[in-house]
Amino acid sequence: MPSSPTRSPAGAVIDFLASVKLAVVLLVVIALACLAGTLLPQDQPARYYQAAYSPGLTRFILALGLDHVYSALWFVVLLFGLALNLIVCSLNRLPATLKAMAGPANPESLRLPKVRLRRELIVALPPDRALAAARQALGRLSRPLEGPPSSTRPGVILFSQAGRLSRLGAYVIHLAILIFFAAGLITARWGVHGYVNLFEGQSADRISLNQTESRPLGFMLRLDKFVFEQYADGTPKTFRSELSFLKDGRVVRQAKAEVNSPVDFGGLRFYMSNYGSDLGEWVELSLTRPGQEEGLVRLPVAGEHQVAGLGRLKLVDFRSDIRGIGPGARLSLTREGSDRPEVFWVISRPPFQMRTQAPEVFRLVGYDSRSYAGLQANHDPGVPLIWTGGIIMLLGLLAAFFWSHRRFWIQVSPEGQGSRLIVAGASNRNRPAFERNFDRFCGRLEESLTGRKIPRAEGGQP
Amino acid sequence: MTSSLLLSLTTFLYMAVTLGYLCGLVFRSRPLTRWTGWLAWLTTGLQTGAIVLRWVESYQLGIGHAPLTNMYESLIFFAWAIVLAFLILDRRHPISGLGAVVGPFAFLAMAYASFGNDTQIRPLIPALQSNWLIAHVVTCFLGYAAFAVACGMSLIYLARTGREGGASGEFLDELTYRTVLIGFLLLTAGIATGAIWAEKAWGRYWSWDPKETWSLITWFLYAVILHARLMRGWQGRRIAWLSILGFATVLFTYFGVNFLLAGLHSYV
Repeated sequence: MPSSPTRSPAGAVIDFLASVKLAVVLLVVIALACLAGTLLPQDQPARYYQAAYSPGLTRFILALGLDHVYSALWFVVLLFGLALNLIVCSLNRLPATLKAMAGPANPESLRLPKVRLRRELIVALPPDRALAAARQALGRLSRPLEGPPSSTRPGVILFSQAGRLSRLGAYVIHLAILIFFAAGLITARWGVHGYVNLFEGQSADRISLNQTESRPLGFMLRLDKFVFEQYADGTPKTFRSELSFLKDGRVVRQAKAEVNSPVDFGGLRFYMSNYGSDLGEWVELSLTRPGQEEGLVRLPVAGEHQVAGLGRLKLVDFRSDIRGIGPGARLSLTREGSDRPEVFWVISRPPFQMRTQAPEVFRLVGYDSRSYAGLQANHDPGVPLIWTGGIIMLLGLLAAFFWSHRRFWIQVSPEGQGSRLIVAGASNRNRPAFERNFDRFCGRLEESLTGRKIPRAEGGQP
Repeated sequence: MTSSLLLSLTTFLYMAVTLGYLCGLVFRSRPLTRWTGWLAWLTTGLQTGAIVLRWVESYQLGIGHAPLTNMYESLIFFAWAIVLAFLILDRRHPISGLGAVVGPFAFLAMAYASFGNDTQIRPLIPALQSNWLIAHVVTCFLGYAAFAVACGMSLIYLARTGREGGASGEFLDELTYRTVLIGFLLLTAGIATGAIWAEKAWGRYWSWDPKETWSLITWFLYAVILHARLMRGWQGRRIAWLSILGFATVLFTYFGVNFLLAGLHSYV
């Protein structure tokens, strides 16, 4: 972070936004928010928290939105803050990095740097041949830059470098994180997450987006068959929906959606999500009227049903299970000669009916139970960015941490009849590994200069 | 099943390895430490065989799948990865006492695996029937293992620097940092493969599920360690403490989430 006391207020703001301190604070606060989000059950109604926690704590939770951390405004602001911090700090540091990558601008400006890794070799070879050997040694890294002798320098200086791009690794990682942010935004803005439950043989031309909204598919989706297979021990083996996609009444595609293997059609991706059973076409009721035999009534799901001598019966609601006591049907009975319907629940076990003083006894005998397949239908334009970001991040991590910018200098000057070489090396990271690397480099150079085998330090690789 | 037998044997041998390293450290006996090293290699080889055998046995049962699908199998892989990571490190840079610190991690993981967990080979439920299973689980657990070894080194660093410090401390510090880096790379790959798999299986690449969220918390923590070191020059004890805290979050991501929090990721 370049910071100096003379910076303007704008500069101070930029320094703040670019600071590692801000990044660390944001990361820690986001992590703590996530912690709260995992410890507190999310998206429950307010009465849930009132029942589970003290009034003070509940007020705190609801005021901060800790019941929906990940969609709370302040959480999103923190995420944007992190993104801004990444952008500003990267842009702020980039010029210095580019300068470090470029290396010396011209050969005349080459100097032996003040670095820790330095070695001096005095050999019998004349300077021109020593220079040739040095050129060859450096040529393994990159074409060496050559500074001629000058008044301030006794000999020729050579410079080579490798792995310059590794300096961009950190930027690449930050870019990947920004790509993830972009993916999240795109998903939030343009992503479609819908669902549809279908009985076998049933078709749909819309998907539900939430409790109230739905959206047209633009084609017909039909569930031809739902297959549930189990292993011998009863463990679920397969959930499979055999789907047909129809346009203008014609089947244009048939495909099987399984868990882990969704089906793509018409810009949507269909997932085998869940299954269950629900009411099909009718419920069956038993009716006992005072002084009469018990009779059966099959009540269709839609429309009214006339019961002779009683009135019109209609199914208002149905639950396949009411709080563990089994299925229940909510009926509306409009007696003959009345226009005020009576509405009450009927279940399959005593007391059979609730909230009614009717003299008749209704009992729920059965219903048309059909299994349905729950399908998710998604369109998520953020997904390709997740792939891209993931790959870029891994490449960035490799470049940033497992690769380094290595620089070597060799100065060759005459020394009596022979030559004197000073080798210097520097790496921007992985210093211990680079020291071994430098030792090997010097060893090889010395071999080529003297023709003698130089014993190498243990642990090095050829 | 032969594999179960071999895995029980592995558990006891890891206990022996732990004790061997501990005695080698306490009595400052180099030969004992060296012999324990060989025993550790042998045990890891045996465990490798047992894991492969369990894989083969699952195919013989007609429900073939990689043995990486529940708490028992993941603990075994975790122990295997910890010991392997330690042994590879130990060959290149032996650190006195590291075996006595890391050995218990592997032994406890194995011992815990065989108590209170279902050791049977179970068929694969639909949610896990994916090619991403191996890539995701292997990257995550190799990452966890690297963090475990880094934590072990940090513990040694803290125990040592009270007395000596100096060049060997600096080396240990550098090595801890390198190990954390490898873990970070693997954890990143684990989260990325997990996101891609989740998109395929659940229809969302990120659901703020507790397991996902905790892996993110862990990732943040190690990211903070890397920034503190690279940008602020933090070293030594502070990094050691952070690395221990990092491994604690790894353990919570692994166990805590499953036992304390409900979510989509209920297998392991």
